[in-house]
Amino acid sequence: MGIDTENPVPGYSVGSTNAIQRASTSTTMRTRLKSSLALPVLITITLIVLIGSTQTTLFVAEATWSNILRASSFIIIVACFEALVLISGGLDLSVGASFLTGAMTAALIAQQTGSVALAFLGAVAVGFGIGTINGLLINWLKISPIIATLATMFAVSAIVITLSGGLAIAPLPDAFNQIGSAKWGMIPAIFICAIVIAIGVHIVLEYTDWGTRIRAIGGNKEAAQKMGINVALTSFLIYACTGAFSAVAGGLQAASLGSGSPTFGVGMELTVIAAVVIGGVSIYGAVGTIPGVVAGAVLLTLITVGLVLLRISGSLQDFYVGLVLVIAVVIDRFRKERMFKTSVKKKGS
Amino acid sequence: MSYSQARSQSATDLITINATSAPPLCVNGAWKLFGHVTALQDVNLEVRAGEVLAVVGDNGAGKSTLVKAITGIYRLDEGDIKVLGEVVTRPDPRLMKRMGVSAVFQDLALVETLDVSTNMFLGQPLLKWGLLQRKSAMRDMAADTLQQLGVNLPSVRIAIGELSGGQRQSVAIARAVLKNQPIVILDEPTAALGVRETALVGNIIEELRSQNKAVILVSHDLEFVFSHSDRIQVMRLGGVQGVRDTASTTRQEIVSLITGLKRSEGDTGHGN
Repeated sequence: MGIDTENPVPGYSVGSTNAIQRASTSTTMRTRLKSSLALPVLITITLIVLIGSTQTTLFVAEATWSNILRASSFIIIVACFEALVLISGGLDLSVGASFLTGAMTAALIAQQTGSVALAFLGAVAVGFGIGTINGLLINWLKISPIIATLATMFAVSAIVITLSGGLAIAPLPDAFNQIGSAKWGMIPAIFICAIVIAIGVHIVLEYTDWGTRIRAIGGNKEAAQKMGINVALTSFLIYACTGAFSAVAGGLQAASLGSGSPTFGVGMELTVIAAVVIGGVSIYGAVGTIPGVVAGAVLLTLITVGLVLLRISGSLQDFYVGLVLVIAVVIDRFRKERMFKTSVKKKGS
Repeated sequence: MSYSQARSQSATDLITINATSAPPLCVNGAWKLFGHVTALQDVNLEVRAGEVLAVVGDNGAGKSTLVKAITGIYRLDEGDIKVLGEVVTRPDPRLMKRMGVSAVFQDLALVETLDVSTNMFLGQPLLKWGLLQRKSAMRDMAADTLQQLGVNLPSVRIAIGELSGGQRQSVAIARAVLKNQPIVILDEPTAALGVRETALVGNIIEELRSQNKAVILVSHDLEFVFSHSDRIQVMRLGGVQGVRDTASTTRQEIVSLITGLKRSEGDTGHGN
C-alpha cells in the first residue's frame, strides 16, 4: 500500500506486527481473569471444603461428592445456556418450566414406549418449542425478555400440571433409570454428560463466529446489526437451544430419580441465574465464561449440601445463597467499572 | 483461506469491479419517510471509482439517513440503489457489505467489550471448516492493516473499551478498509479527532482514492472536505441542494447551499 508506513503522520509511531502482538500477552491474561470468576469461585470451593472437613469428615467422603456432582449436573446444563442468554443481553425465566416439561415428557414417553432415545427426542422437541415461543415473542413481537419468559413460565407450568393432574409419572423403565444411576468410578454419568455439554457450549462461545455474535449483540446490539449480524436470528436460536437443553436436563433428572414429578424445576430459574452470576457472567451482557458458570453451579450445590452436613438450619441455606449472590453482583458491578481502566493509559499512548 | 489469499481475493474482486463501466454506487430518486417527517426526498447520488464525494449539510439534512440507506440499515420507501450497476432490491447490511460497500459509522459501531481484531472482523470473519474462527489469521490481518494505516496500538487483543476516542476511530476506519471493498463510506470520520488523527484520516482517504475506490465522505468539517474531496454534494432538509466540483467552487457557495440561501437550477444530484 502506498501509505507512508515509515511515518504517516508526525508523532504517530508505527509498531511492527510482531511488536503489536508481543504487547498483548499480559493484556489477554488480564482480560481473561477479569471476564471470569472461575478462579475466585474455585478458591471459595476449596476453602469451604477445607473448613468443612475440619468439622466433619463427610465433607471429603466419596458419596458426598458423588451427590454434589450429580445434583450440580442439572444446574450446569441449564446454567450454560442461561449464560448464553445473559451474555447476549437477554434473560430466560422459563428454564424451570422447560425443565419440568422435559422431565414429564421424557418420563411419559419412556413409560409408554420404553425407548430412551424417543424419550429424550420428545424432551428436546417440547423444550425447543418453548424456546421458539420465547424467541418469537422477544425478537419479532419485541416483548421484553423478562415479561415474555415470565409469561411462558406461568403458562407452560400450568399446562403441564393440568395435563398431568398434578401426579408423578412412575415407575419408569430400567433402561431409562440406568442413565441416572450409571457411574464412571465415583463420577456420575450425568455429570460427565453435563461437562460434555458445557465443553460444547464453551467451544461455541469462544471459538466460533456464533460465540462472537452472541457477545456482540450483548455488548452493542446496534453495532452488531450495522456490521451485518442477524441479531434476531442469533437471539432466537439462543432461546430455542436454551429451551431444548433445559428440557434435556429435566429428562436426566427424571432418569436420576426414576420418576417425572410436577414439582421438578420449581424455582430453578432463580438458582440457575444465581449460579450464572456467581460464575462471573455479567447481568449487563457480553461478559462471562462457561468454566466460571460450571464452577458457580458446583459452588451453589456445595453450599446447599455443605450446610446440611454442617447441620445448619435449612431455613438459613437461602440466606447464604443470597449472600454469595450479592457478593457476586457487587463484584460484577465494580468489574464493569474497572474493566477498561488499564493498559492504554498506563502505556502512555 | 489464508490471510494472503484473502487479501489477493479481495484485490481480484476489485480489479473485476473496476473493469465494469458503471459507477460503483448510484442512488436514484430516493425517498424515506418516518411518520410525517420526510428524511429523504428524491435524492440522487453517484460516486465514481477513484473519486471522493463529500456529502455535506446541516443537522437534519438527511446525510445519516442516506448513509443508513446505502449501507442497508434503512430500506428506501421509493427509489433504488445500484451497486456496480446492479439494482439492490432488498438491501440489508450483510448484503450491502457482500456487494462491496463498507462503512465507518458516526457512532463507530464498535463493541467495547470485544477486542480490536474481533471488532475488525465483526460480521466478516475468517473461518475454517465454515465454523471455527481463524483467530490467529484474523489478528495478523488486523495488526497488518493497522500498521499499514500508521495506527499505533499496544495490541490487537486489547478491548475497544480500553482505547481512546482517536484510536477507536482508527480501528473503525481500519475495519472499513480491511477487506479491500470498492466502495467506502465515512460518516463524520473526524468528528471526535484531534489534529494529528484528522491528518491521519486525510492520509487514509488519499490512499483509498489512489487505490481507485469510490469514497463517500460525510462531514461537517468544510476545511477537511475541501482538502480531500473531488466533488461536494450539498443536502438540505432531506433533498439535494446542489453538487459542485471542489476545484471550481468556493466555501461561500457551499455555505450558501447548506443554509438554503442559494440553490442552483437543474441540479439532479449527479453533478458534473
